[in-house]
Amino acid sequence: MPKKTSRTRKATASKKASRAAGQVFLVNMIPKSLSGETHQDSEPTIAVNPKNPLQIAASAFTPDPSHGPRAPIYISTDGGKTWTLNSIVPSTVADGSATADITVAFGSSSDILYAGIIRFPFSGDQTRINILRTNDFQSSTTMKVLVDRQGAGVDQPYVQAITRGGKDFVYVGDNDFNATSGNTATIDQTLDGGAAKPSFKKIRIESRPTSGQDGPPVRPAIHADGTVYAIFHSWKSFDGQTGEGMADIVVVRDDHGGSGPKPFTDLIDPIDNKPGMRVVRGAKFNFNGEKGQQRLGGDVALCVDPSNSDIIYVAYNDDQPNGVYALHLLRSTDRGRTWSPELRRLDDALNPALAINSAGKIGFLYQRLMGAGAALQWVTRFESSTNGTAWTAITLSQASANRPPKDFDPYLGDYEHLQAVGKDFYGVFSANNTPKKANFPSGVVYQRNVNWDTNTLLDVDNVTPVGISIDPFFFKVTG
Amino acid sequence: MRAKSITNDAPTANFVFKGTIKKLKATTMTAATVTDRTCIVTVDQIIEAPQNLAAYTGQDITVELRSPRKVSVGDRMIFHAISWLFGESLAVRSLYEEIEANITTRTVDAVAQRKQRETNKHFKDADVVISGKVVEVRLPTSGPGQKKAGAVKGTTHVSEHDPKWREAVIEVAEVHKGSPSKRQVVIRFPASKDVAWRRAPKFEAGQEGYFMLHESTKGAGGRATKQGSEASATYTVQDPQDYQPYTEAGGIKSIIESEPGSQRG
Repeated sequence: MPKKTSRTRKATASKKASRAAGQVFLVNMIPKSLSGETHQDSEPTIAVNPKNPLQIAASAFTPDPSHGPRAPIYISTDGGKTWTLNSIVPSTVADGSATADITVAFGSSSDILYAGIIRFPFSGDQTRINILRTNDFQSSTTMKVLVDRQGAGVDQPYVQAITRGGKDFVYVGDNDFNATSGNTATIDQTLDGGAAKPSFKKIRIESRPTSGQDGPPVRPAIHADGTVYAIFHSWKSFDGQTGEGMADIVVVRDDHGGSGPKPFTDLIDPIDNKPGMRVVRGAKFNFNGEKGQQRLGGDVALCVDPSNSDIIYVAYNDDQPNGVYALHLLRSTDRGRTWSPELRRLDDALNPALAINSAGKIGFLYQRLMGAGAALQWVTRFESSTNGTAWTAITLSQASANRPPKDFDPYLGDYEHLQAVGKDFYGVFSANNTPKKANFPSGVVYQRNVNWDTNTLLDVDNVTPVGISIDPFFFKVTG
Repeated sequence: MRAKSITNDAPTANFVFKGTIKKLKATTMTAATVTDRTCIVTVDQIIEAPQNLAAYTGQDITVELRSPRKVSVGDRMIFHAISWLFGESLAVRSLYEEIEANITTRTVDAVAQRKQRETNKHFKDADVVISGKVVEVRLPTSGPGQKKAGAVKGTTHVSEHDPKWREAVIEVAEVHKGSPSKRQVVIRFPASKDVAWRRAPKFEAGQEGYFMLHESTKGAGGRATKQGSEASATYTVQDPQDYQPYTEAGGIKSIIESEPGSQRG
């Protein structure tokens, strides 16, 4: 055998590095001890601890399996290879504690996990927001309540956090019906989330008249230099009978972490000189819409380049002619002032999630309805690009959209999530859990008991068949 | 990975089982820290459990004893436990243990037993229990369904979590508890299929069964919901235990059949 030269060794190392990039690891997150579960575990989110990426927290509409008083989160300490349910979220339901809406985020170097939830019980139809914190997500201590408010109702809390100067800056996007005059898009923020009693401030980020409110999704995105963006669905018209409406897709920005006297007013739309760039005007939506058992209503997502806070991508949905529900992707390279032509359009795709890694590569996660009739499928894909024009696609899951039957809304979720840590992408989505290799072209690992030969889920006894359902799936794509 | 066992509530055992100590100072999962209170237990018989734990007979699980006590491999005990961790295995925390030799237990359906116990409590807490038929489902005629409580001026309230209140008019066939004076009772229920309301029973005309009604309800729907005088009272139904069709065995039917004092309307 010829002796390896230095050049050969370098070529081998380079080959190994290129082999390592783009590797996919996909795991069904249901633990082995819950092999018998058949719950619709939809609407997942994920938080990777940037300080220690082996630590990952995740959430979904998974109730406490033992009907205890607290809702669970999923935790992993081995980078997502294995998952455990830890019931530490204060939200109580008699026959399986859960939340209605939950998102999670780690401070970037504090090891603190934050959560934004709609907590049970709540009175009437006034949803109750809680912002929570734990210093040790592996502990079985109940998460500490930092904010508990309700009033006229607060909807869809979406938490993000970053550590700067030793303090956690926490931003929770939500739709707050306590706001007057229909300016409901809100950021609940604190500039010291780790303090004994952090002070939260409500910042109304809608500056224009609405049809009575903004839409549910309000999504912040944070850069380490203090730039904070947020995107929301600004409702301009809405028909309560049909569910049809029209919205502007608005991006706001704060250049000082929200610490100034007028937070989130640094991006001005030159057409009307108001804060918030109307990236898209007149996007049609239908709040009563549905495709493939998944409800519609207008999705938005936003991410910022960790190496350059001038660069942001947004994704949004709108109703197109002929019943198409289109997903669009756009980019700005000047802090939201001007926008590219459409970089991607995907028909009948939704639940966009975006992230940019440390090398500037954009990751784009979505779920797309494809096929027809008995062959109708939900296809979950992760795409990536270094320039926004040439894309590499990885199909993570492709399974029947007709089965299992929907138990409740949302079927797959009103969102899913993607995060970049270093060069790697970490994500989570919910899908039909039929254990069939063809459903997972990039491979998959199941913790729960399965028979791959008969495509059957099995109970904890590894014998009794279990019906299919919707499960959360974790994935990692090396950068 | 470590996991502390700290309780913040006053918990009630939700997993009661007979088991045999298999190994001391050990666990079946890496997430559970080994201490002098943890042991591996083989589940011999489940006495009471929620559905997700019903299949654990014959399985080895981790049990954290209530306190350090002298136990030996081979000891048989009854554990009154609450869940702790669900991972590659199950870990539970024992609230207290009984020596199995002192207790004789018959074979039971663990899930049904627990469910019946909860139904019994729900019946006991109910103000009115009737059997009847849904004759009409309509939009609310008054109350929260018509006007949003606490609404802010100038702000609408369209949310994916809207309950979409409806009223079901029940023709009363029999009264089993309480004394509604009218032959019809109106109940309000969330028709929404959103996750916030997934547990609540949904009604349509023609449905028949038992209804357990509470004058003051706290839950996903919260506040006291009885409206008006009892003659035209509207009750809000949100708990899955509030309704049981006639065709379903056990539950409310068992209670009514065993209650000699049940009123007849």
